[in-house]
Amino acid sequence: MAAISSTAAEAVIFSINSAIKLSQNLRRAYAQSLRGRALTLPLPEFNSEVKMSTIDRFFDDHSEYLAGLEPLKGLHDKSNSSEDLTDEEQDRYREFYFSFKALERGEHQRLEMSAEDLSAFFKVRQWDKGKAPQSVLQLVAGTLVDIGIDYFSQSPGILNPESVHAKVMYHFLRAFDDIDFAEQRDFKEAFSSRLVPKLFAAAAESVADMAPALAGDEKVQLLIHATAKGIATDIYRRAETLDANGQNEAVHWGQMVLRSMVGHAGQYVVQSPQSLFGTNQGVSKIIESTGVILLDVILDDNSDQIVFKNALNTDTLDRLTRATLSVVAQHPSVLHGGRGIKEIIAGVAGAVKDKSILERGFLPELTRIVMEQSAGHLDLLWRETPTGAEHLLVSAVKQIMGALAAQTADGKPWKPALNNTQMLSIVEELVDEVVQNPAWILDEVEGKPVLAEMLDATFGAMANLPKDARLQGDVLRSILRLNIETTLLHRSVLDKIKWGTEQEEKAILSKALEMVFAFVLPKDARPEIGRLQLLAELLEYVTQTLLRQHPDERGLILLDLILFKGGVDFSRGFDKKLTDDILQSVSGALAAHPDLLVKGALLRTIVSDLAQVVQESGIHQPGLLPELIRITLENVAAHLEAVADEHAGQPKHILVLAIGQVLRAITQPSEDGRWTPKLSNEQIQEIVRMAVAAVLENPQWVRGGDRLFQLIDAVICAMERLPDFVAISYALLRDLLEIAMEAVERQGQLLNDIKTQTGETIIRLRFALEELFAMLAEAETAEELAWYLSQRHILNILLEYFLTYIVTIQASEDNLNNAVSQMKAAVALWREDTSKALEDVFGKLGKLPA
Amino acid sequence: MKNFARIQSSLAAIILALTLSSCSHLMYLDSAQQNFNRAAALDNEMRFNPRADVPASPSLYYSTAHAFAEKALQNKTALKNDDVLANAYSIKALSEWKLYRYDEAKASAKLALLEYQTLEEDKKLFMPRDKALMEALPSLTDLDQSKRGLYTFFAGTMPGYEQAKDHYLSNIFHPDADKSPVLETAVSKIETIRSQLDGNNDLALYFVSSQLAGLKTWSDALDFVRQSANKDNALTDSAKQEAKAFAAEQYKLHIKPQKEKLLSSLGLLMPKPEAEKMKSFWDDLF
Repeated sequence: MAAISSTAAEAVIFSINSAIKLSQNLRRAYAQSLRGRALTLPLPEFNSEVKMSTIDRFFDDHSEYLAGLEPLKGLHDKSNSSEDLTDEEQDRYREFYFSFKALERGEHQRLEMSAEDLSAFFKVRQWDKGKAPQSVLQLVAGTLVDIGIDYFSQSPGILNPESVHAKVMYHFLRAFDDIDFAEQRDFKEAFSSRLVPKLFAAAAESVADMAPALAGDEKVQLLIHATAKGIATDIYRRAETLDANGQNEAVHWGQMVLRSMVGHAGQYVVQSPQSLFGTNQGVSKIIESTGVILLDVILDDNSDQIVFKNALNTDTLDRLTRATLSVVAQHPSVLHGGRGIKEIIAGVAGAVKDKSILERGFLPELTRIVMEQSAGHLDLLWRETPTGAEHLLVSAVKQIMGALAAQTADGKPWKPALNNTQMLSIVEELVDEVVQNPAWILDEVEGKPVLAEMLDATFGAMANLPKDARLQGDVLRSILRLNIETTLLHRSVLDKIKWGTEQEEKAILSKALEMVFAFVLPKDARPEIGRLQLLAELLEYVTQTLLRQHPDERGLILLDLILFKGGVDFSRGFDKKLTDDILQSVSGALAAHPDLLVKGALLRTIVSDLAQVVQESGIHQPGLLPELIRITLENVAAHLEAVADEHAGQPKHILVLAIGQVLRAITQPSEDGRWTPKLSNEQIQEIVRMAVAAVLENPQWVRGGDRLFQLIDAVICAMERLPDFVAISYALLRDLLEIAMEAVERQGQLLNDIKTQTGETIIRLRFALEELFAMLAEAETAEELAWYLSQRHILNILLEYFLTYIVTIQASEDNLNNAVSQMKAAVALWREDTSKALEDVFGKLGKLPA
Repeated sequence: MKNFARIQSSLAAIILALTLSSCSHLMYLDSAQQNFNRAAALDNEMRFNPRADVPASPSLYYSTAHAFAEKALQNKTALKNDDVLANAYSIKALSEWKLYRYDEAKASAKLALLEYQTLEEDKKLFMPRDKALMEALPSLTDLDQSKRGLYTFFAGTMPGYEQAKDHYLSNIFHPDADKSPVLETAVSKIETIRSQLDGNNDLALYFVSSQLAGLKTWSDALDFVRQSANKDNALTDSAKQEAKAFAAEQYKLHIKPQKEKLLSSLGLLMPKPEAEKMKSFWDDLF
């Protein structure tokens, strides 16, 4: 058989070549097919009409039929007489005859033979069953030659008997000689003329495109042989029980799979390890099985699954073939057993049932992705479940497509604007993640795989986006990528909490996304230019920084502060440093005082109010707000309830009020334009710290009024009285403020009003300070004045005694004038003899001669 | 498939190339076989189901088949070199048979047999179907001719009983062993050829069916004999009864046993469901 087969295969190849060269071999192959052709034979002529004598004879032998049927008996009698039956009577007589004949055979009616029956009955082969010298190949040799001529006529040299392409085609044709012709012989003989030429055409087309080096590889040739044999055998087996349409379909897909296998399998075969392809038998079985498995997947009718072939085209089949071979090359065991390619493909088909996904033709590509990603990891990707073995990547696809499909359901306000490439890229990335870290599927959160929870969190947040907020695929991919990284590091972002007044529990990750979306893409607001850039930066910050540091409710609180309460101006983009500073300030305070978390709402109010007062102050110095927040929160923990009713508006914390008054005071425009403090962040912070400390001891300074403001304002106004040539340092301001605060702390009456000589009503502190500074300004030289101002202890003593004195007197005009006179006298006295102790001089205030 | 379109577009060029090349004789033979198959399929369909709506006349295809066979045979050397000369003669003989060119058919069959013999002896190339067919072809044509002769004889005015009986004994069947009417001989020869077949149930089935077709003509002949007696006014009633008894006896003694035997063979040569249909057809027919 082998020698004959070999000759047959070569005959066809050579005949193709010969047709091009008009050689003898073509004729031989062609003639061979003509000799073996089945002939339909006509029968000799006969009259197919049933004669009356035949009917008479039947009823003569069955007279019992005549007894009960007078009409029949009448016809019988007449037929047996010399009288002819009319045509109509003959017809009726025949009807009786056929009816009784059928009855006699136990049938209801006469059996009719169809044209198909007759065609089959009288189609006669040259050789009897089992005795034909022909193989399947030989049966269709003539047709193959026809097709071969067409394919190879454009490149005559390609089928030179010594060429690698010729050898490849030789191995293809040999495959048909290896097919067992003893089984289904009749069917194979009839069906071969439909199947083999189609497969030949597919193989020829693929081989023609094959690089010579590849075609020349023996393993590739073996692949083609094995694939063709496997597919052909499978189709023969299937087709016998199929109708004509089913057979055509089987042939069509067999052709597709063969072309795909031949066209794309070469590289895997060549590159495969020697251990796999060490023996020809192993290769043959592996490759043969691979092609058959693909065909089975396509053609098998599993009513509970998706019809795979409906989703396939040439391109997707090619990719699926490559993926399948890549898995097979690394895991030959997948061809058999219960954890193989068939199960994977069936699993994907079973997992992806959403109509919208199927209509987009994703199924083959999803299968390909799972197959490709499985390669090299297959042993690690199966797990046992109560319902049987489960492939982790199939589960992953199910989760992913479930999440994506859920967004496309009617009634949802948002769905990903993904094109096919983007959607598949997302799936591929996620599946790759599962390969790298199977815990995405193996670990569960509240009974669901982590992956599903992460996707739910992501898409759940997106579902609340406005209808017109059509995020593009790359944005969605980016979000998923960030969420993956965050979830990997901190599983707790999937913990669910109730946020604010919301009834529904949500994952922290989901809520964080929601907040960012709500901030960047607010409903009922016109989209702003650059929002997507801001969204990207914010999302990166939230996931990479904020949630990594605070993968819990604290993270949401901080995010809420930053986005909605922190007063950060995002209109010019995302200010990472400012946000960072605020984050550090707040988180530092929270770390030091976890109690603050309990009062989350108050905390947000404090920060929000702080942002507001900074904004109202007009100070735009970077870094100030975070520091003020930090200062406030550092001090606020022990005084959470220290809120005060502001005159107009919501209750505010006293520290907020204090800072507000500090900022207002230091930014107050000068009354005469001579001086206003120009303070750095650090200087402001120092003043604020002083004020905060003082207010915490004396909350009445800010409750119900702006005494703190007046205090600071008094100091600043006093300093305005200094002559222009005096360089006023921040240290002086700080010292004066400190002195003033200490004084007011001791003598609260300093904040009481008095009426000046000019009729103005001011607090006593201001009056005293202004008068004192006026006196100092009367120094004889600038050097002298500077000396005074630089001597903190002298100023302390001056102010202490003077302010104390001011407090003690009645606030009448005379008294005030007298007080000033007393102070001037004391100063003059001390100037006369600076060796005297200041205490001695100023201790006599009120007793000195004016 | 991208190249299928190319196949179609280049078909004309290929045919032209082959026609001009040394393959043309094979193409003619190919076409002859294809046309013959088509004709035979139509022929059989009409034969078994006369009311069938057959789209074309079988004779048109037979003529075409014959013409292509003739064309092929214009290059006998080439056909012989390719070992298909016998096949060409065979298809020519079969076409001629169905075109009522019986003598030519027999002559062509004889040439075909010579070629088959040469192939067997020189090249050990055996073609059992075609060889058996060519051996049987004279008998097959005889069956045709017998049927045609019978119906021609009884066309028009019904002949007298004696004439009818004489035609029957001369052309259809004669009880004497030394007499060999054509139809009887033809059925017998086909039986012999069939018995010599080494397997090939398809061909055996065909021969059995051909024999049954011959028996049907035989049965028709007896019907004509009986009709002629009924209408022969020269016969007495008793003579008419005798004539009727003759026909009945002929059927019972010679046709019925053969028919039953052949129907039994059908059951052995065909799968049961198909065999039942075929047996019913013949059983009802005569």
